[in-house]
Amino acid sequence: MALIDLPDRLQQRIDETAEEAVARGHALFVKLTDTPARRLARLAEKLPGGGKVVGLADRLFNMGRYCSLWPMTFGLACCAIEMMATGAARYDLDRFGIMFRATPRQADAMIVAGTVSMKMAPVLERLYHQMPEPRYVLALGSCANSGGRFYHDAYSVVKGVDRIVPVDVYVPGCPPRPEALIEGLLQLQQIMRRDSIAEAPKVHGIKPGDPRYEVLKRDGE
Amino acid sequence: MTGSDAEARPVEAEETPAPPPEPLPADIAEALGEAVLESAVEGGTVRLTVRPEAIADACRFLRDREAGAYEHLASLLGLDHGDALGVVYHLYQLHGSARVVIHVRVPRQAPTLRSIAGVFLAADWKEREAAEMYGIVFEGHPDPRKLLLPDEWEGYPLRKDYVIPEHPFLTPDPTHEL
Repeated sequence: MALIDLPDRLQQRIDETAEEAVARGHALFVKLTDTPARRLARLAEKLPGGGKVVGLADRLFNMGRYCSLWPMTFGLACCAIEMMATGAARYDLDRFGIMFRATPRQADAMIVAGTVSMKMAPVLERLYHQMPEPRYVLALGSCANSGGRFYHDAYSVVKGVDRIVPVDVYVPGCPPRPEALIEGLLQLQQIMRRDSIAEAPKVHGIKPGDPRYEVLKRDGE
Repeated sequence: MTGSDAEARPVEAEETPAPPPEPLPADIAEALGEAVLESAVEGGTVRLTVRPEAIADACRFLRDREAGAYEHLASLLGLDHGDALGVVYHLYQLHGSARVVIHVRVPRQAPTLRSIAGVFLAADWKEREAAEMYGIVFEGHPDPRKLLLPDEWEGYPLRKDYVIPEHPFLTPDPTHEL
């Protein structure tokens, strides 16, 4: 359901991702969890004029979410220095309504800033599951995206945080400058605007059989 | 300096003759004696290769040495020599600029060494790291747990023959080419 017109380049990227996912045999979005509130919203959509009500509610909820995006602090390596710089006075994330929250329980997104080691992987997964839905993950820097310079011949570095949890936005760089993180967070806000209270949170390109799907299913049930 | 002077100088400096080998300080030679397998002295640096069973006594002597004590354990590293495993100790003086580098070799089949955590408190964590990375057993260590690796880790990752296990988080994607 397209409630808000997305910028062309973002919509184009989503369409390309969808085509690739279909070509690979992946479903683009997997409905993971269902709640009484979502069932109620879907019921309301079927009533006459209900779609407008649900749409208005979506806009309201989404605006509340993306205008006060609270990412969880997850500084793991040098990218965390850039993340702190982004939050500090010079780049000032507060002007976007973004404030760091030092607990997963009240966080909307997780900024994985830095190298994820095998020792940290189970902790990261647990913190992801402690976040309330809808939740989003932003991978900051080459290590969180793919393992970066530790991609080959590293015995302790996870080759990308998307092997553990689904990632919504990848910010490249080693480390990325604060401007890049701000751009990533603005993209994340655009992604958050697509959500609907009638549907479960959308997750990119994960199908049954994918180990990440099992993780999500275990969490949803 | 004028240009003619620069031309007059030879392009390459003549090789200075190697300085004569300096003797090991007498008190170290006397105290360690048979324990020293090899030794070399360059400037303020004393390099020793000692027998593994004598390492704790050697460290204690150097720490309490009267003519310039080496009180600071700057680093303790493991090494993989192939047929043997090694440990290197760097001792520095707090009130001087001299240092001692101690090499120890232990057989790969039975890499056992006495802990020096009782001599230098700083050796505690350094020995734990060398133990988990190279599989060197430090006998008498007060807290022989893993330091950096997860508790359930198997294998010694900094040994040359270590093979990174297949794991969904670890294995590179075969479709990704450099």
